[in-house]
Amino acid sequence: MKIDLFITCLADSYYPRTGIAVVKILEHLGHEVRFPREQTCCGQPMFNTGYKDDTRTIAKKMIDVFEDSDIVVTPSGSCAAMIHENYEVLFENDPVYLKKAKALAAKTHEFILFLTDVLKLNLTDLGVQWKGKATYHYSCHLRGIGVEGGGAKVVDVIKQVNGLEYVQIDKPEQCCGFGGTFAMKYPQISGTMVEDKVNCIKDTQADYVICNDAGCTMNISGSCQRAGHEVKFITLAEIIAEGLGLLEVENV
Amino acid sequence: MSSAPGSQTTASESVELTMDGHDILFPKLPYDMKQRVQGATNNAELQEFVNSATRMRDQMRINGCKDAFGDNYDKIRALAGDIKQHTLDNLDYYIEQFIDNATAAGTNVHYAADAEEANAICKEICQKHNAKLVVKSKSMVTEETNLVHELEAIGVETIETDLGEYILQLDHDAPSHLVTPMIHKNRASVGRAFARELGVEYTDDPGELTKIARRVLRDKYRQADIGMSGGNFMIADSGSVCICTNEGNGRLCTSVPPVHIAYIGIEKMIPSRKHLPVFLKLLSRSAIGSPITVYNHIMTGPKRNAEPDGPQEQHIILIDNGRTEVLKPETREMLRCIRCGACLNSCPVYRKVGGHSYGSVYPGPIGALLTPVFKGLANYKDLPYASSLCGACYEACPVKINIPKYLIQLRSDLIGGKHDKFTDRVFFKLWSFSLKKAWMYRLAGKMAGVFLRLRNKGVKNKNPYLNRGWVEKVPGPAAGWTEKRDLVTPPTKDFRSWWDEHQKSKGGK
Amino acid sequence: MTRSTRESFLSRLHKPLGRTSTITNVPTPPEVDESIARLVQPDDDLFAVFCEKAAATGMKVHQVTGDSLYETITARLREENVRKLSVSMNDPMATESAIKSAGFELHDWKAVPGKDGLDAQFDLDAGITDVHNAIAETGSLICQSGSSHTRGMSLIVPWHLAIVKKSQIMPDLIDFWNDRSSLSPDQMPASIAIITGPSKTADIEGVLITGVHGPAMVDVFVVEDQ
Ligand code: SF4
Repeated sequence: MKIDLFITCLADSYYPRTGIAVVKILEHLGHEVRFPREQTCCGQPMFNTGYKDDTRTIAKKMIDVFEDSDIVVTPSGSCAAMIHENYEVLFENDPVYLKKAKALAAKTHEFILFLTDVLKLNLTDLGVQWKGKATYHYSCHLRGIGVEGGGAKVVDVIKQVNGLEYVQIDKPEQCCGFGGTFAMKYPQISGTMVEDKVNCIKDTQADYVICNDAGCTMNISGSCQRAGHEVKFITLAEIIAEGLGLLEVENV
Repeated sequence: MSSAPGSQTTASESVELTMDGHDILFPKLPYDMKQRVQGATNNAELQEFVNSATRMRDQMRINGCKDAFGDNYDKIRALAGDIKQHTLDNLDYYIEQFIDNATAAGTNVHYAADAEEANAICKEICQKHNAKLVVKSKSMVTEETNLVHELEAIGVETIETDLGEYILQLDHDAPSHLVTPMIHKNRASVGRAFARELGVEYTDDPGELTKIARRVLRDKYRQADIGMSGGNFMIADSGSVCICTNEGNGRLCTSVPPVHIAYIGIEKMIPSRKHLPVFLKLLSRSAIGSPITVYNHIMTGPKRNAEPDGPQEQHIILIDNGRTEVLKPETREMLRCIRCGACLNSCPVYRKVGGHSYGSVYPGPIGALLTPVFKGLANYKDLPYASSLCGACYEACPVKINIPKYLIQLRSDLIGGKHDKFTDRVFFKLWSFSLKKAWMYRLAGKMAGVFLRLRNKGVKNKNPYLNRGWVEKVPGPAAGWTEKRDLVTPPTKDFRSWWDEHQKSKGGK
Repeated sequence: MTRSTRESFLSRLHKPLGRTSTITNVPTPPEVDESIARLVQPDDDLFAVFCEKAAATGMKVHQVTGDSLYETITARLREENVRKLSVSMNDPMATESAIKSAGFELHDWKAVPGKDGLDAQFDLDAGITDVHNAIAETGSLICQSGSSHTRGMSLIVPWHLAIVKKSQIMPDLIDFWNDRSSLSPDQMPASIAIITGPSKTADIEGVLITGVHGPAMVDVFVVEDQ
């Protein structure tokens, strides 16, 4: 398969190792990965703040960049949901781009769901072997691509990793309080929400938090750092790549 | 303070509010949410209290709905949403049908364009019957119109009979939740209010307190001249009103007094009796996880001649009060709401700030939508932003109102109306502009990286793709961020750098 | 202030709906898809389902035969120290004579009509009713108003005892409302109560309390009629 990677702006600048893992895994599985270099951002920050016109220009660019792709894979559930749920809203009154937006949504997949639902892979069968005690943070926007609150579906995939000791977190369905603009406008509420999340993480006594969305990672890891709670944040893609020997195990 | 077995939470005195109930729901406009939120987020006890109560109910919803509907849970929500949407799309037809059928059953139907008119009609009926005492069951729309205060002002004693509402009325407090109105109150405050207002000996035992309320209220039902209710559903094909309660006060209010007045918002319509079971199956499960409310009372007209008892006169006041404003196509979906409260229970923000923070009769996610549309977006600018857009409400809503989508829509309307800050506007314009070309985007990213790394600390890894560090304080638009958490700094190399190297290494092979 | 009329009120609706008068062709609402909404099938064991669900709501369920019915009822009445009660049903004779001959004081609600009639019921210890139907899905009792039915007996008394015949049990709420759907508004009883358990509240700190306004106890006697 020819697979085009949408890295997302946050992973590009802040969490490049996630992208590296995705590329290595897909190549390891025998697929050709391409990276359309003109891509930038899906426009979610503007959209969620209410700047629809600004978002429209960005969304158009995204649609154009990936127009010729067969399949688009992105490590972020949040950005995938943006394309799936919101691009249509943006182009309600633009039949040409509405059609294109729907086409992009139809071929855009979040990386983990791409492995499980499209490639129908099982991590145990794949031979993923990884040591560590980890919990999982469910990122809310997975709701937008059909993963129910709490993310039991992803937890099932995580449990396929041989050697990984999984610890369930309390209140898995509860938002970490990021919400982009929300965190800026309501730092108090957002702050108490993330503190709640950090406490739940502490209670798990896990060494790793598997968090596949860069936005949540920035928020929760920043709060752990502030609270002095030592825990490593890693994506499932990185775990798989490490577990297949495609990436060196490192102090993330 | 003792805690009875089975009690979910206990809280101390600090949960109590100092504001009068009326000011909580009808604040000075434009409403400043942030100020009130500050109080709520600083009140750890209130937070813990509301948090555990709502989480418990949310879990009960999930269990109740999954047990009953299994994989059809989503489908029955979609069905209920479709039925409501269809009704709203044809609301003029169904209202006319309802009026005809209710009239045929002997009901007097009245029309109220706004709160003032609704209350005027109600007061006239009271005066016609020379009413001294009105007992009423829970109704959000009477909160909207501030009915109780207005009736009291003309000398009609008006008693809330839902236990929670009764307590709030005694304590001059205001509801903070659609279904469990006193979710923010603890037993000690109830005990004190009872001792103070009813002259009984102080007790904080919920069972004892309930008994006291029962005793007081039973006399009131017997003496009341008029019984009032809201309405959970109006059924167009029979002209019936359905009220759903667990305590039985709704049925008493609509059975014992000689006159019954129902206050109902026009959006409560459903097409037919055949549609009712869908909603009865969803309402209570969504609210508290139980299969159905204890009493579902379907009323069609006043008592028939041959019937021994029941009200001799029934009045239904159909109320608009802003609803036709919401009925416009852009916002119509919001009117599907059946007030189950599931969106409140599932909302991580509501769990932290409680219902009073929303400064209106309708709190929580659905309140953040309805209030700005009812009362003017400019008056409630803060509300649409008081959400992390996590989507838990949409997942919980039994009629599938896409609440996050409409919150964003309202944000966009605010911006369209130039209600945003100038600095925000410029910031997002520049950001959006930089995303037009990959090179500009990358340059901006690099510059931000360099700037942030100036204050870097805590770098743990030498790998240029992993050498992230932390900043404790940033100025400018992101200052809010570092109030509560550190800001991560980007590693020195981005993904694109790796991609280029990767391509080179592949080419070299 | 000029008052809203039916016409002026409806015209408020027409504007957002994008028309100037009410649509004339009858709209077709979505059908209730039973494969989604039905929770109990007609060929399920309705008796068993009803008893289980009714018990789960906190009602006491007694499975009785026609012969043991009155014995069971009077034994329960004695157990709870009932003194004065009343009966509201289509055919109260047999029940009333069983109650009287067991030595309980029987209140004749028909002798006090209207509001005073209900008022008198506030002093009773219990009320016995039949039901118009019962619903297996939820374990609910259907009590309708009618010439031989006072509303108070399932509402005002602290203890409601209901007699359900096995043949009255309907599978699902859907069946009940399909059945009542063809009645014209004036044929509908003024009051249909779907009762599912004793009166409940959890308003104070989420602590569950039964018997806040309505009956604190509900006993259901399910008669296995042939
Ligand atoms: S919006 Fe939906 S979830 Fe919220 S109260 Fe209304 S019906 Fe319930």
